[in-house]
Amino acid sequence: MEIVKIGKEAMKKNENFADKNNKLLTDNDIFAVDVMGSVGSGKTSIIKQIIKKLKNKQRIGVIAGDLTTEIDARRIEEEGVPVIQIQTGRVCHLDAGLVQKAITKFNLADIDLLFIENVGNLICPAGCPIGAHMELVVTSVTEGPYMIQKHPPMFQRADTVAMNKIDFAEKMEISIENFKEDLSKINPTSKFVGTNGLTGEGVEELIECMNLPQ
Amino acid sequence: MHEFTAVKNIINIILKAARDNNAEKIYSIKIGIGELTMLEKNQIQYWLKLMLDEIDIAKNSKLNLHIIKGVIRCQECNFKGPLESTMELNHLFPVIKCPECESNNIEIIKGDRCLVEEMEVDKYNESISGGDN
Ligand SMILES: Nc1nc2c(ncn2[C@@H]2O[C@H](COP(=O)(O)OP(=O)(O)OP(=O)(O)O)[C@@H](O)[C@H]2O)c(=O)[nH]1
Ligand SMILES: [Mg+2]
Ligand SMILES: [Zn+2]
Repeated sequence: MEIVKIGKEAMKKNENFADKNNKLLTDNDIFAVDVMGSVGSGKTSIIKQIIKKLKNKQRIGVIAGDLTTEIDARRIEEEGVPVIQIQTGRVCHLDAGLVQKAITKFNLADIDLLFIENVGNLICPAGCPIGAHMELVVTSVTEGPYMIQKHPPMFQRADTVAMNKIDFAEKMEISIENFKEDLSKINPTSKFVGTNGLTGEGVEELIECMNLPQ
Repeated sequence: MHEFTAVKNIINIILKAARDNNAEKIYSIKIGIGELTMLEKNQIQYWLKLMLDEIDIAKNSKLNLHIIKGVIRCQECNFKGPLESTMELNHLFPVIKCPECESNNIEIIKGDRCLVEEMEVDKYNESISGGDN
């Protein structure tokens, strides 16, 4: 019996793909945002609201990740921007390989700003970089008051957190300020904005916090 | 189930190393799982075991999984060392900030990888396998 040294990383391939995606996007002057968050937190609604505010100034594209349907892709198309749908089947998050396939379907010269809606899931996407320049986590008041405390890996990575469905805060007796404090404990440099995906309240502030090209 | 992706990659790495080294039997496999990865050790152990037992040369091999502690370098105060698990928030997951100055402007030096480190094998007798061709 003898020992064979290996020393290889299990997730290296994904990282290589993520780096390639990042370079491809950067080379084409595209700024890409990975939009993550629980099922139904309001990711698609917030992307739509941002598009409404920016589409006259920026050429926007969207990649919509979903298990099986095209519902979100159709909703985004209503805003008149190009959408590529990734159906992940049974996979619980996007990976850089899937994203690469989607990116190459766009005419990259026609896009300045790319939103990549990840699969609704507050856990798995945190372990899997896809090559975006920025990470936006959309979470919502209706998920209860402990979301940020309960999911540190996701919130520690976030550049910006949108606390959505603020219209429910009062009914649910939840304080938005407490979320802000929870976030500052685990990720002091992350930005925090309260939003309403139905009315667009807070979305202008969100765009400013994210420093999106305007 | 992102562990499944990791397990698939681990199996590919093991089988390639076995081929490259003329291994005919794998006795044990040593894998380090960084505490800052999103991978859960017990789940990796479970899936890896199930899959390895389907592969002839790896059947009944022993899995040695260990956790690699997180080590960081602080960009603010230059602290270099292990992360501290804060129990304040009741996390199993360590809080990624500098234990000295609390900054989260840090570079992760160790603990964010899942590493297939080594394995114990029997190799084909080189001269015999060479003679076969
Ligand atoms: N009351 C209220 N409802 C909202 C708000 N934002 C979104 N919704 C509603 O919440 C539901 C889910 O919103 P989506 O935007 O589809 O959420 P999602 O995160 O994209 O969902 P998945 O992609 O399925 O994970 C829809 O019915 C939205 O209209 C909000 O701020 N307030
Ligand atoms: Mg959606
Ligand atoms: Zn420090």
